[in-house]
Amino acid sequence: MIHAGHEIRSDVEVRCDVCVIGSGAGGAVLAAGLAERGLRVVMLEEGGHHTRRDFDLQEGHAYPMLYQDRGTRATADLAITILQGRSVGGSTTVNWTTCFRTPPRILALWRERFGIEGLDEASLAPHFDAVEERLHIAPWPEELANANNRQLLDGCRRLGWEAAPLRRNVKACVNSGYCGLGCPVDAKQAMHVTYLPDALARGMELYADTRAERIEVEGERVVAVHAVVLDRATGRPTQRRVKVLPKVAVSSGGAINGPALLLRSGLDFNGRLGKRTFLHPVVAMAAIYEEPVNGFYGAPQSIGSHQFIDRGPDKVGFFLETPPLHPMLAATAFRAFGLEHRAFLQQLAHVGVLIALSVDGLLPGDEGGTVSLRDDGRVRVDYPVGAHLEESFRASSIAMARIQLAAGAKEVISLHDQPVRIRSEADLARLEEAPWGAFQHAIFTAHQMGGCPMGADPATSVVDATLRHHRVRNLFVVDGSVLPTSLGVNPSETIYALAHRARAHVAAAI
Amino acid sequence: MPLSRRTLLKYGLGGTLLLAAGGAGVAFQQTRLRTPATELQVLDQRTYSILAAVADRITPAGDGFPSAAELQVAEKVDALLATLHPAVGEEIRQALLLLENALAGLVLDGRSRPFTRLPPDAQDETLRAWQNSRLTVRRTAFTALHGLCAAAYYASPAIYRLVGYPGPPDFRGAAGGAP
Repeated sequence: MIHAGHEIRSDVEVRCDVCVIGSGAGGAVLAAGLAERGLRVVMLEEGGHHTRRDFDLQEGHAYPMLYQDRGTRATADLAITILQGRSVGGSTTVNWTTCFRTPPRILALWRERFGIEGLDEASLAPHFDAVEERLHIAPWPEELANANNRQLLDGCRRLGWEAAPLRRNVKACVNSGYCGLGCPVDAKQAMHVTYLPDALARGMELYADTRAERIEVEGERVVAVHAVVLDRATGRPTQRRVKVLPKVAVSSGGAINGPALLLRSGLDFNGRLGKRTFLHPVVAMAAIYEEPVNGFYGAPQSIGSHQFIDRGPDKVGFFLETPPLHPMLAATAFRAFGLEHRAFLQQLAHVGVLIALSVDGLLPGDEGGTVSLRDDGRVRVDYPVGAHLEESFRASSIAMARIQLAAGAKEVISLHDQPVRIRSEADLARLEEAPWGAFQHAIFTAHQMGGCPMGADPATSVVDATLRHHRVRNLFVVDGSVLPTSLGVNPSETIYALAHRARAHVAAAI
Repeated sequence: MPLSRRTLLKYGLGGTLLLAAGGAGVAFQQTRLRTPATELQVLDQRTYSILAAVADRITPAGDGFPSAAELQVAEKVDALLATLHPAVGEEIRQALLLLENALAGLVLDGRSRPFTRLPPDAQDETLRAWQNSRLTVRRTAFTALHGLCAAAYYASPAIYRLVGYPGPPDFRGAAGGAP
């Protein structure tokens, strides 16, 4: 049963087997498996419960309703915009549906560098199989790609570069293009239409609009989770409180709120909590085409290229995908202002945009960013953009420009404060010379990873390879925060599979 | 006008000091106030007016595009701030007051009038200077104000037609793909 905040009229105290904090890709898959085993599960979710009836596909409503900090989340210096979901279903309610299995080279690196055993292609395969079946993960037919994705495919093919259709978690998808604003027809197999209903049907109690504030630990065992009911309209805490007394607690709040909750609970035993936060930092290139692109319609992300995923031992690799092109997102990404800004937006129907996601955390010494707490209790994300990332931004932007020119763009425009405009390969030198890095141009992240890394060594990691906390043995972390590096692919399916695998471990800990 | 060596030579030290004092005097010129269309929740009238002036330059009227005031951009930003942590609203208020502050403008940029009393070209120049500033606080403030204003303006269905976006289809009543 789902308890919305306004339905919780008095303080609640509830006993259960497992308290899962967070209802996204990690928490939902785990909870469904625990409920299936007959365990009593209580889930806390600070976001609201929203369904397709609430999704009017207006950006001005969707971002405040469905994203962290009402769509304004960013690093402390605002250099990197953080797109992260916040509702029942977490980021799965608003993600762009791209699914990949964890690359074997990443699993090998984790084993080698962090001593993570038991996570290899073969042992993960049954978990991937299971979530792929439940979430209808399958390749999106190339012929259904919208023009924006088609340009990525065509441009790469003309240059002799790899590009391929992506796999998406959709069923009876109508190709509307609104994945990021909440699927209007429940075609996206997000958690709120799949694993969460599975868990609820088997008796899970889900408290929405309810923020976990602190995990209470006594003698290195979780004894309670303390939460406060939020007023959905204002986001402010009410007087009503929810106290959960679980046998096992699971932190599934994602790679920013999750580490913040553990920090607030005083559970940083080795100084590693909130460290090594990775973002797959994103830069984008816009292009103007003669023909309409209408990038606001059609599955936003259906083609990807991993041509540049491995650029040698001392360079950051990157992969290429596409975003949806609705007016508000485009207007915030284009950092010029005034007449130049308007002139760009006036051409929106003819604009194509490619994005490059840099694979952070793989190079030795790349520690990524940090999640910490501000004095006023808010979470803080710091992410220094170093020289290796700047080089990746430059190289990836040139690669994107070449694809766009090969696909027939008449002009390619960077998202710099002073946009760089090029019309032919001969102009690419301008991108070489342009400044790349924080505050020079728009940078985004839609993939938050790390902060509670798994590892064999309790001195340098937070959880073990079964996602169990090294010290507090009835505490698990099941979300993107356990990833010890970024992935080089969209992370949702890795999180689904890790959560699926964690079901047995969490159940065994009760 | 910055106090250049040439100015100093032209007016002499005493004259220059007088000029500076004059500039400081102008610095206390008051914010050009506007009347909000809805009741303010986080901003006061002064910071609201500064934000509205910024929005006019981020997303200017013209070529068929409505003004930021017509779309109530500053009012919408105020309403959004009311749903965020109170510290965010305070940070935005401080950023707006800093932008408006003519005394700081005089010392750092050589402008002697508050932002809301500058002509549009000079406002653009000021915003561009903040966007490219070496001071992190200014770049951060510009990024915040640009993001809030651009988002509130372009989220409005009134601009869909102007950017060639037919708007979202109506799926209400459509059958969903049952899980």
